[in-house]
Amino acid sequence: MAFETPSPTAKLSIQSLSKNYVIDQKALRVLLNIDLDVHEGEFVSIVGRSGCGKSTLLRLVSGLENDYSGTIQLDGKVINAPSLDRGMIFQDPSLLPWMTVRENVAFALVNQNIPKAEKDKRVLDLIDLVGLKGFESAYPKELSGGMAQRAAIARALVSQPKVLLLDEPLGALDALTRLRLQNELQRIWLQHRMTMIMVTHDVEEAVYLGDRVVIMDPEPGRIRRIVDVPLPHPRDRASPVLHAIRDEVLKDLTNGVVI
Amino acid sequence: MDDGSVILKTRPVSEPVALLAPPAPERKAWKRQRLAAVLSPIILIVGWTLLSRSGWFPAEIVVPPEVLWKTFVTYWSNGQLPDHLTGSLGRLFGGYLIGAGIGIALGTLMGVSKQAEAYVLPGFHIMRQLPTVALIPAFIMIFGVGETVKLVLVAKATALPVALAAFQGVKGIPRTWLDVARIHRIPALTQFTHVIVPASLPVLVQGLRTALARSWMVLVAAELLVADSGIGQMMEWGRQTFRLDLVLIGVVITGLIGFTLDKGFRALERLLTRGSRRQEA
Ligand SMILES: Nc1ncnc2c1ncn2[C@@H]1O[C@H](COP(=O)(O)OP(=O)(O)OP(=O)(O)O)[C@@H](O)[C@H]1O
Ligand SMILES: [Mg+2]
Repeated sequence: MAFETPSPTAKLSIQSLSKNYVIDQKALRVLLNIDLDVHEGEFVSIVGRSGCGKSTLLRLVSGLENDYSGTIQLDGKVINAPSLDRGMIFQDPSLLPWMTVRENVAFALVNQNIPKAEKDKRVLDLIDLVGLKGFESAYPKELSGGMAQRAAIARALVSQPKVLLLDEPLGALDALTRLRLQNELQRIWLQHRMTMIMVTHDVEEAVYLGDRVVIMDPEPGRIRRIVDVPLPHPRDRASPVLHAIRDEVLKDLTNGVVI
Repeated sequence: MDDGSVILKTRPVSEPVALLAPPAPERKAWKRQRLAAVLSPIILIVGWTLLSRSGWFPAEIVVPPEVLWKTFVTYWSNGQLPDHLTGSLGRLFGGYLIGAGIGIALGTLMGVSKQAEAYVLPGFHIMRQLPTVALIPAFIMIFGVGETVKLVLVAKATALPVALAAFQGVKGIPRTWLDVARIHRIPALTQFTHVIVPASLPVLVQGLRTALARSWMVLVAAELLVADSGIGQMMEWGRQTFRLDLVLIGVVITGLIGFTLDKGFRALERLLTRGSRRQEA
């Protein structure tokens, strides 16, 4: 192997990342030799079979897990704990049920050193941005699944992270809500140009939103292939190029899998 | 999907509480339940009266209700009954507060620390198999027959279920709630007050309620054996002097207090859970 230096514009740099879990004193290899550079402002989608370590990868990048070998760096700084420059959205909105929408979003700013007036403004701006104006005082159980996930998006964005990690954020939503929120995500991403890494089981969604689609193999979790989606945003869902890439990813994903 | 969320889609909520009023059929069922709750003691009293009038049993055994009432009024106005009551309730709340404090502290500690869990939990599971009343003789030998032994018994009867509830409450917190707190680097103390406490509260409060009911039973049982005052002692004295009317009044009061404690606690529980609405599954 030649010396590999990360490209100068790379924001997030993952090199020979491996991760084991110990179950019953036996090591379970979850990730093996992951190499991935994600550029500033890039949208990377990750697809792969269930259990191939996609969530684990995001948790490592977020800093929620910190026991790994290899390197994960953001702007040249090693990641080993959560930091406000990395936000995360889960499949379950994970709103705190005893807080209103506004309180849930504001909770993300507890540890931020900014004046209260500024905090309040940011919170309301984000609630507005995700289309929840009028629901500031609603409790999570009074929201539909899509609305709850919008609130979760607002909470993740309010601390203005450089990198947003999304773990099947739209996985629990119905098809229509899902399409709408895909467009919202795209709009927010275009507006703020932050780096986004999204895990999804929906190949169409991965291709529609991603600049690149990372296809992972299971047992142990490895990167099988990275597919470029060289189309400008916002995209046309009906684009034949998009469909061709989708079919290609789908074929690659099901390749070698006995159905 | 329930009607609540349909309403929500069409208009913003400014008054979420208004949506929580039970729909009409539910209210009807609730009324029926209330009626049954009022009727069943009435049926019991009427049956008791008829039985005492029938002459099948001597009046010393099936004491007529009017005699019970007279005894009650006498003992209430001469101050004996209020003394017994304050004695019992004082012990109950004293022991309960101590036990609940210990239980919450230990249970929460076990919930947040794997190490504490490994050391303390097995002991708890063994203790749980042991009914508190079975400890009464041993505790009398250790703590004597004074006030201490009753406080200790109540505290023990409280601490165990409360600790287990606190533990389960903390353990049951969805992982992503804690992840969200960590992602946003919420300070440990704020995490505790704003996530761990409210998230585990509903389970904890249930444990506190069962513990209160259980402690009351344990206390009355203990008073039967060792006390110079209290509802249990009053009943024991009634048994020794063959005053079945006193014994029966004791039984009714014990039941009423147990019932009132439970109702009061449920009201408190509703008040608390109103502030911590659970997410729909
Ligand atoms: N905390 C943990 N302890 C032990 N093993 C774990 C833990 N978390 C994940 N694993 C294991 O690691 C492997 C990868 O899990 P991960 O959740 O990352 O997969 P995934 O690709 O996100 O799957 P899915 O698509 O179903 O969400 C699985 O075999 C899982 O059992
Ligand atoms: Mg996953």
